Amino acid sequence: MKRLITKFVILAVCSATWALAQNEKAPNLKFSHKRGFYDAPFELSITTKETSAQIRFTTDGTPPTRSATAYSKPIPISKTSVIRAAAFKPNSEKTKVETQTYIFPRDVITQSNDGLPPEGFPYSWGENKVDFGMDPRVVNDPRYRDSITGDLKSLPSFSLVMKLEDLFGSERGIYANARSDGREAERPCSLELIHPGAGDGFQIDCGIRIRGGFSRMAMNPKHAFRFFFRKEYGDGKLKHPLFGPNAAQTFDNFDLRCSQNYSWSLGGDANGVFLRDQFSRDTQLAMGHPAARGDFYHLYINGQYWGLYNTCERPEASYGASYFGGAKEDYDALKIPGGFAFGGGGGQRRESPFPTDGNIDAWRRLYDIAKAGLTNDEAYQRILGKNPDGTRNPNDEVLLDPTNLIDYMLIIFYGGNLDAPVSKFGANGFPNNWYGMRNRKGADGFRFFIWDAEHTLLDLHEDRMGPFPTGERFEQSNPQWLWQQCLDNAEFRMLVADRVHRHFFNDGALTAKSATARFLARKKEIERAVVCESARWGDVQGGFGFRPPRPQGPNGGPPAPLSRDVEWKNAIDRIVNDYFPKRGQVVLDQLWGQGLWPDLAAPSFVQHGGSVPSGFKLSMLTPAGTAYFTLDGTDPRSLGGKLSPKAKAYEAPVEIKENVTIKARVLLNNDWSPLNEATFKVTPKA
Amino acid sequence: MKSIYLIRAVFALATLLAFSLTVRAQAEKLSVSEAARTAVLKQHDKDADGKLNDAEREAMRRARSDQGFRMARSGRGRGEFPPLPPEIVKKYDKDGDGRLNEEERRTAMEGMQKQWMELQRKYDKNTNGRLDPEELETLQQDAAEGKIEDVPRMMFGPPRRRGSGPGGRPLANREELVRQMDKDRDGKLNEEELKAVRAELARRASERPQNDQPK
Repeated sequence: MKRLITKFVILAVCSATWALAQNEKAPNLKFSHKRGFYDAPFELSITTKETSAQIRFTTDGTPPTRSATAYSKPIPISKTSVIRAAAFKPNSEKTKVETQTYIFPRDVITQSNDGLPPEGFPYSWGENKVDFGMDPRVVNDPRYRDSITGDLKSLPSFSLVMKLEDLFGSERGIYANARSDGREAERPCSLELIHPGAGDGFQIDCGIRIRGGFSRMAMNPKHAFRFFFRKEYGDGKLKHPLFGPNAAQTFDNFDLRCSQNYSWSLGGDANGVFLRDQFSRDTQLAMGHPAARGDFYHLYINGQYWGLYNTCERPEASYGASYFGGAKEDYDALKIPGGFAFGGGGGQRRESPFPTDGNIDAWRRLYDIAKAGLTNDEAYQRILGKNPDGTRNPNDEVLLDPTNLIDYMLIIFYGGNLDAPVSKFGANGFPNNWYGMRNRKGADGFRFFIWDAEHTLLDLHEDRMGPFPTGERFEQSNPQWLWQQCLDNAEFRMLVADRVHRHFFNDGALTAKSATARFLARKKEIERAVVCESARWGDVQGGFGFRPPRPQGPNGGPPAPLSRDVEWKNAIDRIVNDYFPKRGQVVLDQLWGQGLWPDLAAPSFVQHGGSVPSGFKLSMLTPAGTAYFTLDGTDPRSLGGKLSPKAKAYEAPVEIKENVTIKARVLLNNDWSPLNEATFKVTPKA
Repeated sequence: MKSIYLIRAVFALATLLAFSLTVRAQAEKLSVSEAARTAVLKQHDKDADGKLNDAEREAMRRARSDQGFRMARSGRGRGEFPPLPPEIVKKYDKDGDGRLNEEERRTAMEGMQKQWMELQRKYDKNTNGRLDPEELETLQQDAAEGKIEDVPRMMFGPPRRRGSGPGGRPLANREELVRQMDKDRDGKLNEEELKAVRAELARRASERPQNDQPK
């Protein structure tokens, strides 16, 4: 018996030791040169503290295995290279693959300048249209040749490194089969963020999928991506201030968009500005609402320059938990899938809003109440979680954030958005490109997020006011339909007028001054990078769908590449010099034509907020009627249109002695003007 | 004393006037245009005071909303984008009004998709179930030359051309070179064949006159 027990103990100890050895992680590697930009060749050393481990590496993007090239001496690096290395101990099964990308701008600008695939890249991408290389007509253009290497460093760069078979292979390649979606169309990759100067980048192993709807078609050579951070790849989250210190700091996923509509890469559209979608998202932030943040980057795929890209947060449950609090599991995040795809979207087109997280039960409840009618205050206040008198009813859930809905629709109208949340491409008969979110356990109603706003800033006189019947069936429900239902309610219409006044006047977010400044800030960010986009994608031709081909070049040759200083500049100038200065007037006329902007003007302040000395006397101008104001932050107009007991009639300039928000309206013959409100800060005496 | 009061009164009036002009200038930057107002007021300004009060505005909103819904449901008004080629519109415009309503557009989209599937089958010479780049290029060429019945020339755009040097001249007869180098005649260039193409292009580039070289 004793012998049996002894044997058992020895066996158990041996098994445990063997198991430990199997699971023993190989040590981390140390690289003599960190990822980044280089001008001069160097010798790359890779070391590990563990003397019994053999370092192995690859240069083709594949993760190294035990059969990869053994590292025995420093690797000469003289051109753009991607190095993936790992150290293997004799009995170790698990290794962490380290990936480093070294970018030589002088080499990047000559990549595939003959149009042929670079070494290791395939000739075809399945059925997908192919395009390689940097066009020497741009690289050598006197306007750009002295600065283009610097232009490659004008923005941070992402380096995507992975098995090329997983991208371009005819069977497994997600780029070659871009319509594939879902988990089965996700592949492992390495993603690095490289700052050209000082700046904290990262490297993370993650999952990658193709992103988009219409852009997935095979005729599009430049696809967009989505990255997923899962424990199966390494870190379960990306921990990095990707969108700045005031945004979320950890991510489950994010998108890397490329402009597809009005882009150079899809059929050579001279209207390409690459800013349309980001402008609408920036506008939503500027109006004080949460939005899908984004920034601009260069992208490399296994060391090959792939053009200008744009990050985008995804307004899903993890976003909600990050920005609004609570647990991811408590959020309903809805979207419309698929979009309206002509000639190649493939498969069934789903219309019904579906939850990326949670369920659509609350959305259905909101829809049903709205469908029954919101003319009377009881129904309207109910979706706000209130009693008919406007006080909070703790027994009623808050289903809608009306301010968010109104401002979201104002962005749609201002941008003349053709494809959200109702698509003009489907004769306004389909919803598209909207996201909504609500915390089932929270105190806020559904909020809506600007999404895929590429079809904006086009026709100066575009009218997206509707109304559209899209939404009369639940399967087609969308924020614009909800807005139309809410317009039957007088309180909602008053709020619409208030928000229009807030954003279209006094340097509000939708005034020409603010919109132009916001747009030009982004323009300045990318104007050097656009030269690189021109070299990479400015020469793509082939037409697209209904767009006529561009005129031939000299001697019958191909057209000159689309360029920053011609086509991009012209497209930018049209928006800045024609669209923004006039669009506010156009939209105001449209709102008035829909009965949403009153003729009774709000009172004006001699100074609209800001710093004032103590004792400052604020004058108001009232063209007609009597101005009423409050100093306690409440509305001088009560629910139903009654005069608030806290409101004071304006009879003389209002003396300001402390920080205060003044809200004022005009009342004339029982009609109220929109609200004018401004916050004043009293500066201390010197 | 009276003169002091007079001076004060004049000063107050001037201040008020200046303020009024300043704020009015700000207000005048954005207001509903006369063009937008004229036609509407005639119909909806019931008390003829030149403005719409709340009740008049709400009546206008409902009337226009009802009209808008009627138009949208009939497919008229705001349903034409992007503009389809005239040949397509003509083919699917059943009611002959010169534009495609919602139903006609759906039929057009389905018809064009079916046509595309048939073209794919026709041009898939190696019957691998998809259009390889060369096959697509042939389709594009035929479409550009008007050889495909019932398909507008512009539908697929001109075939893609690359590799042009200064003045639009080709750097080399690339397509012909590629065809020469496709040793296994599978319609694609494998890595070995690509190496041979690059080497040949480099050789030809070194033989070109100096002023013809890309910088």
